[in-house]
Amino acid sequence: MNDQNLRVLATTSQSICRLLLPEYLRRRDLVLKDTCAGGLTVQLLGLSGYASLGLWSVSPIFRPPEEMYCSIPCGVQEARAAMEFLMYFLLQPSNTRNLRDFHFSLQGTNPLLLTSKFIKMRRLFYVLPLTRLNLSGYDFADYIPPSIILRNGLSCGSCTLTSLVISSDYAFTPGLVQTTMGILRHSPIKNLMVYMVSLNPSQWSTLLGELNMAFLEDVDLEGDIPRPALIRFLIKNKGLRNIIIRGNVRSDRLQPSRSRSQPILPNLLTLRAPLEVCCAIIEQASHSPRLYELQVEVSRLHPHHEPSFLRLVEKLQHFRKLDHLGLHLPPSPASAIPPTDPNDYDWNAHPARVLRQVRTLSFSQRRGRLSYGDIVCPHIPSPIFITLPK
Amino acid sequence: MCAYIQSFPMLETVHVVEEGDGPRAELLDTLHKAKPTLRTVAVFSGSLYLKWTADAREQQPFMDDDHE
Repeated sequence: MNDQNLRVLATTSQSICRLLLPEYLRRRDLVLKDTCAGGLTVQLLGLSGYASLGLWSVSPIFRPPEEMYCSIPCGVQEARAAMEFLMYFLLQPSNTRNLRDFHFSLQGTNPLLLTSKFIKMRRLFYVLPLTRLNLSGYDFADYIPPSIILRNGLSCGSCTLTSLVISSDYAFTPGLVQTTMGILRHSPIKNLMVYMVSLNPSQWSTLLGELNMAFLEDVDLEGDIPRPALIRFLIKNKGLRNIIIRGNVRSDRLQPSRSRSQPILPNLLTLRAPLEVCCAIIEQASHSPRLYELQVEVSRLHPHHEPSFLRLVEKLQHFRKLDHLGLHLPPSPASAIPPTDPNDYDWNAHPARVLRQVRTLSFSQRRGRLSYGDIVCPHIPSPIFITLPK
Repeated sequence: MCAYIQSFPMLETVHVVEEGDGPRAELLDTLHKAKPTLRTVAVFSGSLYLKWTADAREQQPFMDDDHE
C-alpha cells in the first residue's frame, strides 16, 4: 500500500485506519505512543517516517502530538530531506497546537552542511508552544568554529519555554547559534543543561557572560569552564536552587568582582561541583540557609591530600539545613599519589566532628571500584566498637 | 571511609556507589559496624546492590537487581 492508497483509505474508513495505521507507520520508522492514554507522542526514526508526516493532514484519526522525538537520519541528503518534511509538518499550526516537548537529535551528520536548513528552522523555535526543548546528537568531531559569535543573538525567544537541554555542537554552529542565544536570553527558562559541547574556555566565558536568566532555578553545565566566569554567572542568577557543574573547571588569577560580603545564591538547595567550585561558592554563599545537599568532587579521600576540602568542611558548620554530603572520587590515580596511612591523621580534630546536622554521607567512584584502602581503615582506633551492644 | 563515617557525629545513612560487581558483603559489614548511629548502609556496586538496615529482622546484606 502506498501513500496515495492510504489517503483514500483514510478518508473512507476511520476504523480500518485505526487498526492499520499504527503498524503501517511503525514499519516506516514513525512510532505513535500514548494514543490510548489521552496524549500522543510521535517518534521519528527514519526518512520514510518523516515522509509519512504528510498523512496528518488527510487522516482524521491523527491528533496533534504533545511530544515529538525527531532523530534526523545520518547522511547529508537524508538529513536535509527529513528536515524539509519536518518543517512542512511543524509550520502548520493545526499540527502543533498541543506540542510541548520537542527533542531534535542529529545523528552524525556534519551540522555545517545543514546550515541553510537550520536557518529555515529557527523561526519554529519561537512560534511553537514548547515548554521543553532538547537539542542533542552524536558528534564525531568538534564543529563549533573558533570564530563563532556568542554575543547578542536574535532579539526574541520563546514565550513558553521553561526547559532547555543542549548536548550537541550544532546548537552553536552558524545556522543556529543566533537562535540559541536568542532563546537563552529571552525565554523564561527555569531548567538549563549544557553538556557534550566543544565550547572552548573563551567561548564558555562569553556565553556565560551574556546570560542573565531571571527565571533560572536548575542548571547543569559540563565543559572546560573558566572558574571566574562560572562564579560570576552563578552570582548573577539569584533564583538558582539546584546547581550541577561537571568537567574541568579552570582557575586563573581573576576573581569575581563582587564583594565577598554580598550574599549570593540565597535560594540554593543542592550543589554538585568540583572541590574548587564548591569552595568558591560556599565561601560566598553563607547566606544560603536552605542548602540541603552538597556533592563534592575530590581527588582523594585522605585529608592530607585535600586541605581545601578541610576548609570547605569547616565552612559547612554554618549551613544548618545541610543533611547530605556526597564525595565523588575520580578513577583511582594510584600511581600519581602515594598511598597514605589514615592513621597519620588526627581524626579527632577533623572539622566534620562539628557537623551534627549531616545525616547522610555518600561516596561514589565513577569508573572502577573504590580501593579497599580508601574504604576501610582497619587500624583506626574505634572506641565506638566498645559501645556496640553484645 | 570508616574514618569519615566516624567523624560525623549524627550520621544515619551511608551510600557507596561504584562500578564493577562482585561480592561487597565485607565492605557493607565493615561500614555498618563503624558507627552505632547508622540506620541504613547501602552499597551499589555495578548491578549488585547490598543494603543493611538497623530495622531489618535479620541484619544481613541482601542482593537485589534493582537499586532503590
